[in-house]
Formats: sequence, C-alpha cells, structure tokens
Amino acid sequence: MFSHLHRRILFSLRDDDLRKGSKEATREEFKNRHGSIERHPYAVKWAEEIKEKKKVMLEDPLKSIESFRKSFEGRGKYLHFLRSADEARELILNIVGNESTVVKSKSLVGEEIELRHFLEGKGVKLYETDLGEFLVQLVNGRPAHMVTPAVNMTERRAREVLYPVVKKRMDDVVSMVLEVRHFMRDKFLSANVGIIGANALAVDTGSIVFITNEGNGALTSTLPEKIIVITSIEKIYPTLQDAIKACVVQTVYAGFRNTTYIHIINGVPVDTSNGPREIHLIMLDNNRIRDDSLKETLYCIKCGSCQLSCPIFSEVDGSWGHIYTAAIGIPWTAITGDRSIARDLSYLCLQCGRCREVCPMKIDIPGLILKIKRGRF
Amino acid sequence: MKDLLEEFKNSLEENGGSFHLIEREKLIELIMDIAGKNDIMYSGLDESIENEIKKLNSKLYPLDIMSNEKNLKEKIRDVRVGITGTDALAAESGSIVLVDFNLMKSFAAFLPEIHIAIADEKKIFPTLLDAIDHVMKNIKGNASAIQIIQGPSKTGDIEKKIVRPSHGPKELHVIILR
Repeated sequence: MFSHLHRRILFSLRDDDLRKGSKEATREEFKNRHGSIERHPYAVKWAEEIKEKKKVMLEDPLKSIESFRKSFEGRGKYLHFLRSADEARELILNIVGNESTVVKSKSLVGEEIELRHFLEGKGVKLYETDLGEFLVQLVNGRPAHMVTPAVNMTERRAREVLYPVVKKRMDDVVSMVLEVRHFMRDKFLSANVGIIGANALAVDTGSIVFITNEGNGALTSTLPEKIIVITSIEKIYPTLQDAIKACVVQTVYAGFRNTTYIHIINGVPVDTSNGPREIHLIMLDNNRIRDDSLKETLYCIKCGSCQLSCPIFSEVDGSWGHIYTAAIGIPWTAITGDRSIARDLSYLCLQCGRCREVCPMKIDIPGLILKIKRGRF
Repeated sequence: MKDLLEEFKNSLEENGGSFHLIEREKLIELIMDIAGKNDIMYSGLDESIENEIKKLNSKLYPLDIMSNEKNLKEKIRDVRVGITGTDALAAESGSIVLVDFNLMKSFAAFLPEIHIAIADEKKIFPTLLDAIDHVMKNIKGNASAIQIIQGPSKTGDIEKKIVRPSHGPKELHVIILR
C-alpha cells in the first residue's frame, strides 16, 4: 500500500501543471484567511461557541440524532440513520432508482461513501453541478481539497477537460464557467432527483442548512421532485442560530469574505405542484460514534484551512490522501476509511503544527496524526 | 436607520450586488431601466407593487398564480429577470433573506440572469442573526425554505479566480423603498 501512495506522490510531483495549480491555490491562503477574519472578527468567538455546542451534542450522539429526528420529520420528510457506507449507498440507490437523472451539489460525506462512482456504476445518470466537482468527475478523480475540489487544476487543464463535453471554444475562465452554466441548465430542469450535502442541522427548527457560492445548491434543492440530503452525525447543532454560525465560521476560515448563499431547508413546499415532494435525509455514522481515540476529529467543520496551510499539501496536493486528503484528512481517513491507509498517510506529516494554529476548532491535528503514526487508535 | 442603510449598501456592493434607495414613485422607472424589454417572473410581492409591475411592457410570469402549472419549469426557463419581495436585510453582511413557502421566490431568485429584490427599509437589521431571528419569529405556517442571498452567483473553482455568474444570477439588485 505504501508503495502505491509513494507512486502517486511521485507522479504528482513530476506533473508541472498540478504543481503550479497547487502552488497558486495555497500561496495566498494566509492572506485570504486573515483578510476574511478581519472582515468578520466575531467569527473567532463563534468558532469557540460552536465547538462547545458540538461537544455537548457529541456527548450522546444517538440522543442528538433522535432530537433532530423529532423536529425534522413531518410531511414528505424522512430521516434515515445508517451505520455503514454500504447501507447508505444501497438505500440511496433505492430512493433514486436506476432510471433517474440526478443533479448533485457538493457533499463530502457523499465523497466519503464514493456515491458518484457507485450510482454511475448502477446506470444512474449523475451530474456534479459544482464546477470544481464537475471537473473532478470529468477526469474521474477525487477532490483534492475540501472546499475547492479542483484546487490543483490549472486553467489550461480545466479547458482540456471541459472541451469534450461542452464542445465550445473557451478563451478564458469566464467563458468556461458560462459554457458549463449552459450545459448544466438542461440537467437541472430535467433531473428527477437532487442530491445535496449539509453544513449543519438545527434541532430547534428541524432545519437543514447548507452553503454554496455558485447557486447550484439552490437549483439542486428546489427543482427536482426528490431531494436527498447526505450528512453525518457531527453536524447537529441545538439551534438554527448555531447552525448559521457554523456556516459563517467555515466560510471565513476557508478564506472567503463571504459565501453567496446560505440555504435553509425546512420542508417540502406547500400550494404548488412544482418543486420537491420528498426530502430524504441520510444521517451517516460510518464508525464516527464507535471511534473514541480520534473523537476530536468530529469537531472539524471542514473549512480546509489546515490543508491549505500544510507545507506538504502545497507540494503534493490531493495525492496525499485517499478520499479525505492531508492534515485533518488523515484522522478522517482513519475513522471513516481504511486504518492502514491512514497509517501510511500519517508518515508524511512533519508534525510542524501549522494546521493546529489555523484550525478554527483548535483541533490538535498533529497529535491525532501522531496517534495514527504510532498505531494507538 | 441611516447608518444601517449605509452599512448595508457597502456590504452589498462589496459582495458584488447593486444598491438602490428610491422613492416609491420611481420604482417602475428603475425596474424598466434594469430589466429592459426582457420577460419578467415574480413572486412574493405586495399587491400594490404587483399592480404597478403589471403596467410594464414586458411579458410577465406571476409565479404565485402559476405555481400549480405542470410545465412551469419549461415555461420560465429562458425568463431573464426575476423580481421578489424581501423578508429581511442584514447590514453587516449585506444579506437579503427570503422566506419561501411555495418555492416560487426561489425560482425567481435563482433561475434568471438578473434578480431584483424589493425591500422595505423597515426590514433592515444590524446582523444576519438579527434578521433570521426576526423572520423566524414572524413566520406564519411552515416555510419550506429560507434563502439567504449575499451577492450574485460566483465560482472560484479554477485557480481561485472569482468569476460571475456561475449557475445563479449575474446581477443582484436590491431596491429599498423609502
């Protein structure tokens, strides 16, 4: 296994385009994050607050799931709590059906269970509507980074990848984005199923909260008849206010001054024959509850700041990881994926501690990686 | 109030949106200016504003009336302008908040190239959390979605270069009526 990882990293190091892409994306990370924190200084305090809320909710995750279920379930709304990736995939296939066209916006838990590969293998037509994810889908790859999945793709590479699909001349990034918009519009309007991720769930209002910049999440969650929301147990917060705070903290620490859209979904629409009739919330455990030694990982809000600030990540990008990459991606891999893969990944960590400095949740990421290195988890 | 409006204007413009503070009687003129001769869909407007919009020369799609039509999505797919009411505004973040029951506000806000949100200056709050608090306390019935919009659609997925629009509107105009 280690030699496989080694080969991938060597391959990535020899690829000038990949390295240029990663360098460009990580070069400004410090400036971007500090700029966004300066613009929204309260995010620092909010980060502390939501960490405390998460701690409370994770003391008894099953109880938290049940309290969310109580306020969430109702007309057209179903919560499915599933223990394993296998169970989640099968159930989702069942809800989707083989004949469907699916539009999907970004979901890291969806990546975790390799949902796209699975559904495509069953003959489902699925379109990743987030531009970065779409690029990743077209090269049949995996996201390199939590927030910007195609972080390591240069403009030139992106054009090569898009051309066979949109078949239009694209002189710059603006025209690439425009052509993807045209291509995707038909898919949005004809899809029967929309799959989205969630950034946070609120117990007090039974709401699903998620953020996007592109507007793809808005279309994915309002146009198809069936909506599937894929999420995991650590996203539950006591109140809607907490859930919104979590979204803002994630945006700010990802280095963005704002996120364009925060969507709050409460239910299926009334007084219309358009829009979703069913909302299925897939609540995945995938070993999160059982794991004890790496529990701190669950405080992660997946802003990706630890990845961008990691000196190794800026050299080897997404090749340092299986599904979750670099920094906090290593304990995530240990919990939700293969422990031996996580152990291989852990050896590349320098223990420099930059990730711990930038983490809004103050997670001791080097400490977690050290545990994995020593096999004590 | 004046300070909040000023702060909202700055935040909205920082986010890439356009701010308009006008007298009520200038509304139609301004909409014509923004929308040109394009078709317009709209949802969640006050009756008096709706009556004025009906005077426009554009082809109109009153989504709240059309919400039960079977092929609605096909009918509105090429409509370039969407107009919605606004349930709250947040000054600090430059956000507008739409409370949506039938999802027609969402259709009007996300499908077209230009989204015009009309708001009453009384609905402006200092922060997003205040704005959400206000709408949650005042919702009657079950709103299926609450949309928080903080600028026109964008993507930064290729080399982190910010490009507008992506899948949503290219322009966001917030019109505040005095």
